[in-house]
Amino acid sequence: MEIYHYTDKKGFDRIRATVDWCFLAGQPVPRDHPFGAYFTTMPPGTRNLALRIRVPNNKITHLFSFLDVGDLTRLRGGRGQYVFYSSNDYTVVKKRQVLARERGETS
Amino acid sequence: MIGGIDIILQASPGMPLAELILGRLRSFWPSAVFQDADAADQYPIGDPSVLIHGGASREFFIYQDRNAAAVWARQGAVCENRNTMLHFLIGPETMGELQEITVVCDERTKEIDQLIADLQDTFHVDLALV
Repeated sequence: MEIYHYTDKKGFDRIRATVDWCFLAGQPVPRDHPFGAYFTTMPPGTRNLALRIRVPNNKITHLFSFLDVGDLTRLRGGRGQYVFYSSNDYTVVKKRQVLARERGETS
Repeated sequence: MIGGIDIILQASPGMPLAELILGRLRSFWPSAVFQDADAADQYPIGDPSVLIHGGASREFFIYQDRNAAAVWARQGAVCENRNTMLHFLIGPETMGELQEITVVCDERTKEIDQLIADLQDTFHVDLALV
């Protein structure tokens, strides 16, 4: 299974600056969800993506995808069908990386 | 990369959950707009197509009104449209077990908490299944 992380241009440039990608854990606002680095199984063409994860449109302009190794935690509730998190900073080594690009591109 | 507050409700099995939610939202937000999460189309909550097909949806958005729907489409989740859209996800039905409903909002307010309490009452949880 492929996992996706969406971010803005600033986050994109920071994460891809290193060979191994490091997704930093943080506290989502409002503070309803656990501190962590958040991911989704929803690919970039998913309809209503920003609404489903409830973020501003300008925070999902770029994306990373990588292969799942089953170590992420499912979010409680219905959104757990497509939202997962790591309680700590999450590193993805090069051999798991699939792509890093602007979301508007097609490949 | 996640926003909102996820409120989890339970319902007795076999209930027409989407229909019950839509019925309650029609009085909570009379000018509400319905959108299935997998669709682009939006309809007034009283539109015949919502009455006919909305009950089959398992994941949907209810906007406070057309203006709210437009802001959400243009900007996503921003301060300007706080609590003007509720996101509902209805979990799978398993024989004899309580069904899970997730409601996602931006902030717990008195109005939202009252709506949640009303919905939970509507779902008639059979205590024998808890």
